[in-house]
Amino acid sequence: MSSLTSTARALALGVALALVGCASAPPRDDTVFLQHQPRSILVLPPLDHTLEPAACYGALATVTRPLAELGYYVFPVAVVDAMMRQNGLPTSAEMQAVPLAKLNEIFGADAVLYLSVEDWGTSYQVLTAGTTVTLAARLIDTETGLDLWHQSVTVQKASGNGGGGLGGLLVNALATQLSSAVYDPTPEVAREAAHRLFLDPRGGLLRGPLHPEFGQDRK
Amino acid sequence: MEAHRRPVNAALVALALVPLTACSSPRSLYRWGAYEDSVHELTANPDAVDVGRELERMLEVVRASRDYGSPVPPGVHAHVGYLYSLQGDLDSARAAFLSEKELYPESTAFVDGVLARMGAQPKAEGGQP
Repeated sequence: MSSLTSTARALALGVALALVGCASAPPRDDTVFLQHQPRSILVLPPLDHTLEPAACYGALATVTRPLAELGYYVFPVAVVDAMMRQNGLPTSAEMQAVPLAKLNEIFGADAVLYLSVEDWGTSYQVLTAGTTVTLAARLIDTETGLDLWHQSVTVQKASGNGGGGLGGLLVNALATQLSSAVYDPTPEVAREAAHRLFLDPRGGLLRGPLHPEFGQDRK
Repeated sequence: MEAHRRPVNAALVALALVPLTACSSPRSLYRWGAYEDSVHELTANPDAVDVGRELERMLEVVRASRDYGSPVPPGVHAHVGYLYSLQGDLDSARAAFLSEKELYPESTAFVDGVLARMGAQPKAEGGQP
């Protein structure tokens, strides 16, 4: 009985701490965003700050779905990418350097999402292996160039933690390395990162006009 | 515009009828099928795309949305239109881009630009937008 009570106390304390943690977070300021509430978003291929060739287009494929599910019109990212390549812009850095006025003329998007991939893939350390994806995003108002929202998120997924002491860990890291040759967890981790980037209740993006509950998540 | 948003309106009505369940469960607005995979295929390996296969699985996304009574996701019709243009089927490409504009008027400037450029291309060559 007494151990149950102390567990209950610990739980209650945990809940109290969690509440304090929530309350002490700085309140988000959506003033600029709401003044320029976008309806349509042009997503440009991400800058790749990793050494992984798969990062740019691996990340690009993950962002349309959460953005559209939030209630935004998202331009067809593969078509946009192809159009820009055909018009002499072979890299995401060149695409992201196109002036807003020009993007506005061609696409008529309310806002442009500039992404970068900061981490991508699985790293093998002595004792363990982990897959990390870090995405950073800035949403810019096409008319004014104002920063409507920005956020970055890291999702890390450890693998090969089956226990068994130091030897077990070493074996696990090796086993993960071998199995990852068949199964790459990075796309799944990237999807999770994109999901959290936009849908995080505190730092995420407010719902857009195409969502049936548009406007109900404002403070 | 209202007429083209019927599925969304239906979702609104459904939400109004069951506000409590709607709040507690994250609802999907769309059925995405293979769209993310297809985007990845087209962007990561643009020179080695099996256009027929991509078209097939993207038309399945359109079918599934209609079967399920949910709107075709943003960008999907345009993605299909682009695939048709890669095949040289410009009539189907135009029709798909027009569906994008009809369902999502937000795409009007973009689609009009694509259609204008397609119109300027000789049909026999099967150009790209």
